[in-house]
Amino acid sequence: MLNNEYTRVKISSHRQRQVDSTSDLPARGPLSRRAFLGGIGTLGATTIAATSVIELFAQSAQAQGTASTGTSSLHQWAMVFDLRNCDGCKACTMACQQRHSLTSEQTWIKVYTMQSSAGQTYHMARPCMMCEDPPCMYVCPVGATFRTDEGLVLVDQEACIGCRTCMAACPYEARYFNWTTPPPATKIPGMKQSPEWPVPQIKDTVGKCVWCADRLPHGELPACVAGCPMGVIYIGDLTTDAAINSAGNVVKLSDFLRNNDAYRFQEEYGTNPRVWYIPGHGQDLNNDSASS
Amino acid sequence: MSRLSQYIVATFLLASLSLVSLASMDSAFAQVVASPLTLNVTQPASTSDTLTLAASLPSNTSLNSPIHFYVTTKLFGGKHLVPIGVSSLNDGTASITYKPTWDGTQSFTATVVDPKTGATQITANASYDVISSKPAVSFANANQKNPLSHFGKGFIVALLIIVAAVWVTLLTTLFRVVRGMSKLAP
Amino acid sequence: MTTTTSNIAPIAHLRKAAMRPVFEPGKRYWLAVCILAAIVAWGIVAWIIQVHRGLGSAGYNNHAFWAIYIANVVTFVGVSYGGAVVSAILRLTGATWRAPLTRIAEATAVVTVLIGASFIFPHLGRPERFLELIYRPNLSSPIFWDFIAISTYAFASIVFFYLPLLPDLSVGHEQLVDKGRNRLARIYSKMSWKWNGNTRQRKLLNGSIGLIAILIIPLAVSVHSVLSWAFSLTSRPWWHESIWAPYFVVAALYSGIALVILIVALFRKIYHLEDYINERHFVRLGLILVPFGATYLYLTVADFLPGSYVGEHGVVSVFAAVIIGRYALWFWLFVFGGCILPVLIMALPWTRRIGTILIGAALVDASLWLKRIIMVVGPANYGRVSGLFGSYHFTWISISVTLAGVAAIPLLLLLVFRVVPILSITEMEEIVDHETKLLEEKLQSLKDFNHSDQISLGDPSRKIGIREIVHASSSAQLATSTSLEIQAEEI
Ligand code: SF4
Ligand code: SF4
Repeated sequence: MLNNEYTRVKISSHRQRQVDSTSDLPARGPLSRRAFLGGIGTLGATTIAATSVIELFAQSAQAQGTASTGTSSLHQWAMVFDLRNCDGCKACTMACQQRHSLTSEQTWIKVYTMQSSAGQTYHMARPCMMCEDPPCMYVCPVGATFRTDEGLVLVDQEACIGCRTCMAACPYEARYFNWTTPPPATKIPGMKQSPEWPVPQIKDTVGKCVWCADRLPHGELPACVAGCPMGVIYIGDLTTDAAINSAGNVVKLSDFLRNNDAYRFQEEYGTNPRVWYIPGHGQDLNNDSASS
Repeated sequence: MSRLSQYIVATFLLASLSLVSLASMDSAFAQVVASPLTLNVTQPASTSDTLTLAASLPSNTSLNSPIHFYVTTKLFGGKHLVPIGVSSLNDGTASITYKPTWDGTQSFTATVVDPKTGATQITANASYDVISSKPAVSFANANQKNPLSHFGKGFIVALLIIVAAVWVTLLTTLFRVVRGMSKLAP
Repeated sequence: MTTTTSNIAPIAHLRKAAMRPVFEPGKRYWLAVCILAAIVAWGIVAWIIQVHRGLGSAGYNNHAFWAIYIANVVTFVGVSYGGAVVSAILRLTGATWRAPLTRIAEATAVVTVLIGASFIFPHLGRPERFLELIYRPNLSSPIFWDFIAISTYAFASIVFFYLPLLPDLSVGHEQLVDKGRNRLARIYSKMSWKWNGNTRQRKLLNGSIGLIAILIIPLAVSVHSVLSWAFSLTSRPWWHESIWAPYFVVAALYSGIALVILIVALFRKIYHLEDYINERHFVRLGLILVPFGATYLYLTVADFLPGSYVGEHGVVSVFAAVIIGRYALWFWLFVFGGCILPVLIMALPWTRRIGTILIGAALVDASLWLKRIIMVVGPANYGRVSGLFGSYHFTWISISVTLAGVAAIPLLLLLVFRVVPILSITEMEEIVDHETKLLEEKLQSLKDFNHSDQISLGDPSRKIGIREIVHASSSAQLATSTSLEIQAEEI
């Protein structure tokens, strides 16, 4: 039997998208809340039919059958912010907004100025945390928010009804609504609007950071990672246990986190974010950051 | 697949792969430097998910700098070396243990810097087919239990049944009244 | 028996009064309908403009992602509880004085829950995708269960409006035929399903009404709870409070009864129902408000105390903003204007007049709407990472749409009572019959007890004759049997 940690990543590896997740529902051991709620989402898709309840049981039986041989996906994306190097220049925000043709309010990755307990100010960028237990997904009434098998939480803007419950649920304020008609997008030939490439944004639906889900499969760095001149942002993969920043610095992810006392922001909300921070106030840049 | 058969396959692969890698190494190093660094990957029987990487230099070498070990990834385009450990030479051999995090063939590299020239790296490669792996990062609240998960889908099914019962009651009441009025009228 | 004859006149009177709005709603009826319809139409136009321009035109922004419309949903669905209380709870507890109010209360419940539910549409950015809730629902979402709960409750309140109406339709049918209103008469006769009032029909109907009356109380509780869970199932400070479900239920009861007071007063005035609905009804409804107002105040304290005491970062910031900060003015306005003042008005005997009760009820509804705005906007405004508050302003669009909802209540009720008897004729008649019988029995036992032949039914020389009591109870008061007992005791 595989051990617990292993199964954990496997649970998260199932694509919890309501529209097409009928066959890969995780079902094992004590159900995690994620499995439970994700399963409910799956159930939602099937209740349309009058036979839903019957289907429900058939489906979980099927899931049990496949669970033992279920394939873990190739990647489990993660991000690390090395705050020792961040000088708060907001280049990440601008790179993102430019790439996705966003308005200036749509700070999908937003740089906050924070206060440390020692009274220093420091800068902390906040992308979507790609939570393993995404409350935004659980509360979405139509399953427009879904989670890919690589751990990316994405929004299907063609399905979003614009109820903004996800904005209420996200503890990180990572979601941005299109309150008016979005500005015209710079077209990239051959790219169609999709959850992975949500450009242009769609009026009266919700949008958020996607970790440049269109780039990751091609081994390209997300716009913010590539755009950070200080190499603060690392994009990584929990499966491969590696992460890289714009300077081409490759680290063994687990060691990098452990050796630098990485933490996850607002972990107490139990959403299991996939973003780690390495504490710091820019000291590697000789930034003393005395509070003003 | 049983554990035992996994071992057998692993051992077999280990044997064959180390032969292959040694062969390829020889030719590779012939072009770079004369003194060959060799890298060997083994799986200790005690902990099945741990690999031992051992790099050795011939005993006559004057090199004595630490050996750097890497695993290769093509994750972010091209080929990247992910550092997985450093170890000093001890009797011509340096070794580290490594826990693979994904299944499949993994390529390892060991390098050593020639202190005289500074820049020259002497490199050795080896690969190993990992059958069982485990993720390196575990989550802080991995064992957090949610009471709702205890009920699972049954919870939702129960709610749906209650809703259905309410609708059935409402509709049958309405229907009974409408039917009953006509029937009970003399 | 003399009582039988003495009942005829007032009952005919009652039947006429109940159907008056159907036949002669009055000169100013169409004027009122036109004005209200214009307000509603203007709101719909504003909504269409909002759909065109985007939700931002209603004042929404990333720090006020939920605001006026969801507060309206909560408010309007909330006030519909008043109908359920007056009708169902008072019915089950056998409070007979409710009878002249039930039809108006039930209709108000139906109308407000429908209006409240339709505020979901301006709330949604993409109302045209609303049906996704049906064909691709996510069953773990509280919003989906809101949809289920509201639609179930709405259907139940329609059934609860229709069932007691059924015999009245057959009564109204005769009058419609008399006046030559054949089309409506046909609908009446169709909808009353051969009702002729025999005992078995009555038994079936009363049993069914009783069942729905029992059912509608937990349904209403569930609606307001699930509505609150749309908020408290998120981790946002102040929304994530376990007290919110009962808090919403009490708020619904409180504001619902206040609305019933207002609506009853309105229709009493315009359709001259003073003979049936008098100050005593308002006083009683006002007295029901007192415990709910006090409970709401108590729950407000219970809501704020733990969070303020402990001082957890997010919660304490929001509470500070509400109690002493940016929303404090509105919050204290609600506390004094929406809880303390109305409760005092209803509780103190010398302020218990129709006029003051109406002012109190209006205060309750207005300030509970205000409270919902604070409850929705406050936590939404709070930035959970930065700790800073965003801002939110009403725009002409959001105000127009909201006013349309307010105007839609009297408008729809005016239209409903244009085709439906405004008083529950059968229920009132049954109660009069029942109480007359009780009274007769009382008198009979008094007579037996006194061995006195001087008290005789219908004796015109007596101080208080049965004729007058019966007349009074049937045509004017429909007082509880207790008050009849008091009168009987005087004899
Ligand atoms: S706004 Fe869209 S994505 Fe968010 S909860 Fe509503 S439907 Fe889902
Ligand atoms: S950070 Fe917010 S938007 Fe992103 S996955 Fe978590 S809850 Fe959802």
